[in-house]
Amino acid sequence: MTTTAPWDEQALVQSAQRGNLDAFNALILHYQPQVYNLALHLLHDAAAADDAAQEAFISAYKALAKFRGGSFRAWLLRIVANACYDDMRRHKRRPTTSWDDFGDMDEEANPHLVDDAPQPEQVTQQRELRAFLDRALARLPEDQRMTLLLVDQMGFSYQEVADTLRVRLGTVKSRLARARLAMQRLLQEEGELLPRRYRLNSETTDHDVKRNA
Amino acid sequence: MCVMWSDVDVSAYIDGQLDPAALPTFEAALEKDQALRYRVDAMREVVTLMRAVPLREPPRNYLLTPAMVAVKSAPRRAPRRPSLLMMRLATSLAAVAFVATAGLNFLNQGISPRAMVMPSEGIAQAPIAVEVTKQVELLVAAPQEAPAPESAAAPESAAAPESAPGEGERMEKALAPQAEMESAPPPAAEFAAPAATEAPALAAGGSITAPPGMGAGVVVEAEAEVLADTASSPEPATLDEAQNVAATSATDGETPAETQEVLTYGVTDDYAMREPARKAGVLSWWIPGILGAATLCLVGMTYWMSRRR
Repeated sequence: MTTTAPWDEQALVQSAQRGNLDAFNALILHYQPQVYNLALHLLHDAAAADDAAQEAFISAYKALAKFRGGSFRAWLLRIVANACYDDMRRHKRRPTTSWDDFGDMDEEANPHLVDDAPQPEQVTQQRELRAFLDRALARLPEDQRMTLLLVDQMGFSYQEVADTLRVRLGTVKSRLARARLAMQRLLQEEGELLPRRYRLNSETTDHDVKRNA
Repeated sequence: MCVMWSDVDVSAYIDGQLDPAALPTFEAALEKDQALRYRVDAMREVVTLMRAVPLREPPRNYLLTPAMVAVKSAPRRAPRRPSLLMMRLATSLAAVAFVATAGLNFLNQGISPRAMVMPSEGIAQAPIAVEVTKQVELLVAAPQEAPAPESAAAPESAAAPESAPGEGERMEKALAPQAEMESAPPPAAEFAAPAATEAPALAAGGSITAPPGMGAGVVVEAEAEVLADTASSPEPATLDEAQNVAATSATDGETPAETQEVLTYGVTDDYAMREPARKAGVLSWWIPGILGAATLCLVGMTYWMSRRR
């Protein structure tokens, strides 16, 4: 589940702790997608997520001396989450259940989605899937959404999620199970909106399962 | 045995996080239970779907520059005002220092009379010494009337009933600094001999007078008779009684200068010599004074700061 870093992360962290900004920038390049996506899912605002990600990296660099080992990305994403919560309190922003603002797949309306690479059919389908998942995720409670993102999209281990969210391991397990069940239910209800290749195979057998159970 | 597996178990099994002790039982149930197998497959599809979507690319890089880090850390170097805790601590220290220095000053003055002599004390001793001299003159004049010195004591005691018991002690106190001055350099050398020998000399009836030219201080004349009689004979209870006795003697026409055999020593009041010590004692009060003022200022500032917060 946990992705292994292609470089010596510990050495980079130690070098950054000694004041090597280049080493910390290398860590930033590796983790900035996760940082940005987490902020985006928490704030539901691309500009705010952008600012929060930058502030989180600055805060992380200043607080690097306090890092005492363990999972660096869990420590980093905890800072990101705290920065997002601070931003919510500052602007009295609340997570909304609607994902329409960001779910617009129009590239002109959302320049962050512009991709200069060729647009094959698979990429288009992925975008449709992402839009669907984003809407579905937005309907989940925040704690479940965070857990699902960290585990299933970012590849965090249970322990890393527990460290990031500062909850117990059992809480991570239960939140994750509830989030997966909720997503499964949403996918089954609105499965026709998904590209055919992504539709669940089990959606037609739900009644059979209940009958057999 | 039929075990009801929860969704948490199913989710943990998919992620390989199921309890190792329960894993064999779960896998055995998975082979037999179709519903459980369906639950696992459905949840696994969701996980697969979630992982099929890559993360969004951030709109830009968040690389840090030294300027970005330095600008944010600048406010930390702003000067800070002294905290209320530090002000309270400084106030307490100043108060303790004030009490300590003031106490030491009092203690030093209690030990060394030279340091605590004030002008008022020197002035107050002057009339006492004058009155005692008058009494002594009466006693010295008495032998003219009576042949034996012993008989002179009786008329003296009759004419001048008593001298105040405190006066003898005052005289001793007045002479005590002279005894202390034995160790002092030039003045002590001058007065050490009389101070050391004046007790028998005075006991023989001598008197101590100031030599001419040392009139700056208050002249103290003391006689051994006074010292001896203060212990044996009844004395005036008060200074006023002694003055009355002296006045009575003067009206009787006695002239002490006629017959007295005076053993004279050049002794003066040590007021002039005490002056530098007195000044030093006064000067030493500047330290607790300054500390007291500082304490008051700090108390005021601390109170102002506490009210301001």
